[in-house]
Amino acid sequence: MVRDELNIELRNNAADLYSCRKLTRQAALKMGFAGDDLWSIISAVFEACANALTHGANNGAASVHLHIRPHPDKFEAVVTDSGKGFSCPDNTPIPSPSSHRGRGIPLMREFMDEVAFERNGGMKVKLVKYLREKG
Amino acid sequence: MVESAWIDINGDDKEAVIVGGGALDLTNSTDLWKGLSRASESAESVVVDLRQAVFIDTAVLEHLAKAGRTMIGRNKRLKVLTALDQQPLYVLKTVGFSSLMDIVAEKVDFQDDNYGPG
Repeated sequence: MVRDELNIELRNNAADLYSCRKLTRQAALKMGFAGDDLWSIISAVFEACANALTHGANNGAASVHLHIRPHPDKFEAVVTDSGKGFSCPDNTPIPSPSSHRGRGIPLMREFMDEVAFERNGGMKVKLVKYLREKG
Repeated sequence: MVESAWIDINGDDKEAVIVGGGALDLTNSTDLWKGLSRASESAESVVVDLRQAVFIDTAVLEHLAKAGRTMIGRNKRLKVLTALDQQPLYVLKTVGFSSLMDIVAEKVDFQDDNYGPG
């Protein structure tokens, strides 16, 4: 079932990241996502929001928006910020287990069906996950 | 309202147990690291008990990777306990941490339905 779109403004605090996680989970659940696909969506959207809050500050003030757009066949989230962006190489594999850093973007790509980055006065990250047919 | 999260550090240099529950992420993972860094450098065995954790992010993965590598450098293995059917186990498997640490999953009943699997 398709539900309403959600627009959330995030600031750099724990309460906003909680809202990001909670609203993403609620929206994905309503669309019929469950199990690993649900975890994938929550994890990927959280990483995108955390990245935006960490790297998306413009003159010290982060302005980050999360837009969740349900479709009949897919979950779509767009995270935008006003910062200078960050490096987002294509097809970088998940680092080895012993590696300390660099998992955020590779995990987003692993968890979602489509991940697109666009730099236009800030960074825009679009995340898409398709509903699988049951049975 | 913020999801509850808690981190307890127990034990001694023989056996250290770091318990993390709720949602563990970049906003609270430093507390996890405070106990984990010291334990991984000196304790005979280190257990990270995430059975009551419902979410971990890459900041937590970063700390677990550091501790796991430190333990391997001491010819020991970090042990991580998780709940079945929860996000932490799914993420740990996805990043391939089984090669770096011992991950033991078991069924856990969560009292808060909001924390349960979808």
